[in-house]
Amino acid sequence: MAIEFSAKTDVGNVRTNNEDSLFTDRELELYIVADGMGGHNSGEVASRMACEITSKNFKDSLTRSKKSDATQVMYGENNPNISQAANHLISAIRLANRVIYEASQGYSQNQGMGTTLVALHSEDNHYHIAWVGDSRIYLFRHGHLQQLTVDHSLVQEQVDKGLISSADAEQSEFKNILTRALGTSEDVKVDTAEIEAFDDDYLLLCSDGLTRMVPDDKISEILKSAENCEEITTKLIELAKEAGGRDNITVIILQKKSENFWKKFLKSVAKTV
Amino acid sequence: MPKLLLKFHAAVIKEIPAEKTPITIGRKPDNDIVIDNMAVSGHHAKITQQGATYVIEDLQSTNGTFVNDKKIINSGLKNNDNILIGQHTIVFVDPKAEQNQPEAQAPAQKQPIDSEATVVMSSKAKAAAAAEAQGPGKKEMIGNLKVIEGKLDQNEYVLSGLLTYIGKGESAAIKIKGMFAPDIAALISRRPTSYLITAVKEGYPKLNNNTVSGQIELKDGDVIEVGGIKFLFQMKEKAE
Repeated sequence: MAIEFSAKTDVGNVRTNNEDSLFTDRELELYIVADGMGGHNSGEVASRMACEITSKNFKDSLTRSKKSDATQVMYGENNPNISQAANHLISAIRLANRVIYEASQGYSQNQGMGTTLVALHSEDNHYHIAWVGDSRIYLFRHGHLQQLTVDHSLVQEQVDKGLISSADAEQSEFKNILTRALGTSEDVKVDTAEIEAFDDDYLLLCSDGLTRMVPDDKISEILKSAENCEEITTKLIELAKEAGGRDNITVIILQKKSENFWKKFLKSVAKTV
Repeated sequence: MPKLLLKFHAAVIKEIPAEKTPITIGRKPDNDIVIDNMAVSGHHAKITQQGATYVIEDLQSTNGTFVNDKKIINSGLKNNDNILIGQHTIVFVDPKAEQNQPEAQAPAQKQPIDSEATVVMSSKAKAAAAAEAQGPGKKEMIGNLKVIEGKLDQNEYVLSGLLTYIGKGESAAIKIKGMFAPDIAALISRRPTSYLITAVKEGYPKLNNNTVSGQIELKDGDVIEVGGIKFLFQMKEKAE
């Protein structure tokens, strides 16, 4: 899939260290944002581990799946309703969870470390997304911004149960409390979705350092008016910092480029041959 | 200025700046920090400032006040001291004190936590919060579109996908026919508890006889019209 992207991370105005990590690989078509937590520098360790372990294992399993005689090891249950690549992605995330969890158990200074993770893999004409925690993925299509992920946070649970409104959630003092994260328990449930790709889609992967500082309609405005991915990531980080920049800010913007007629034609010929 | 972090188990509930002293802590509403829990006495403890030092004093509480797991009557506070009151912990955070102290004096196991820091609920805390936040036994609801005028390949569509398109095109899950029907007329997107309709082709879909532009949240019983087909939107309990 023809994709352009820009990825940036910024420590913000208040923090002294950046606990966010990101991963991008055009060939692998995999993009990840992770937002770590925990004392000392264990948040950084957790988010970096999440990116490295997930991407490495995903790459390995894709390589293996191309060889017919290779044995595939899936971590956790296979979901028949989603594509093979998406299953590999989820398996890689589960493995990362286990490794981070064991690292946190092994060293007292790492105790309580964990991380959020959002990952996007594009393949054929689809995006596979997977997430744990309160980092988010948005889709900008037909001039509208749409959140694809659902936060694993206490306030989101309260909203779902109808106990508080979305507006109350914005003000809640429990905003920091996650109900799911990578590395905080032995096993983790990874949420996932598959979405058909359209030409000129924008996708935004980000940590809560952006979404707590910049409301959705502001993000939407930037996407509407910007010329390219680079400009969007720069502007979004600027906005988050102008609004206070209380946390680390990480933003990946992807844009699906339209393929011209001849490319499409050649592809379809290649498929039939 | 030092601050106090009120925690319940691992979860930080509140950050309180120590703007003025004394700061009183207890169950009754006239305290500066109210902890509504039976393990906490009406007037449980008090923090005062003596010179440059902040001091916590137990007000003869029933269950006692503990600083770093030691029962105290009164005690000077250092950066990152943990004050245990009932099941709640108050962490005393004073960055200034930290500068003067060698690293070794910091409490060995406890990590510095600031209120902006994200925390994950332990399963115990989750159970407690769930018990507190028990809603009226809600079942998971899912949106349905029932065809009430016109004919399509199905009479009813369950909106289980994140994005459902209505149109003539290949990517539309709900296909409408007709020479002039657009490839994609409308998009219905699923959020945790609601659905939104987006007019992909401006002015094409109608909602309750009004032209939709932009994005609107759907309500149970709404009628959506796209190219001569009418759908009734309903929220139903999800089938097992």
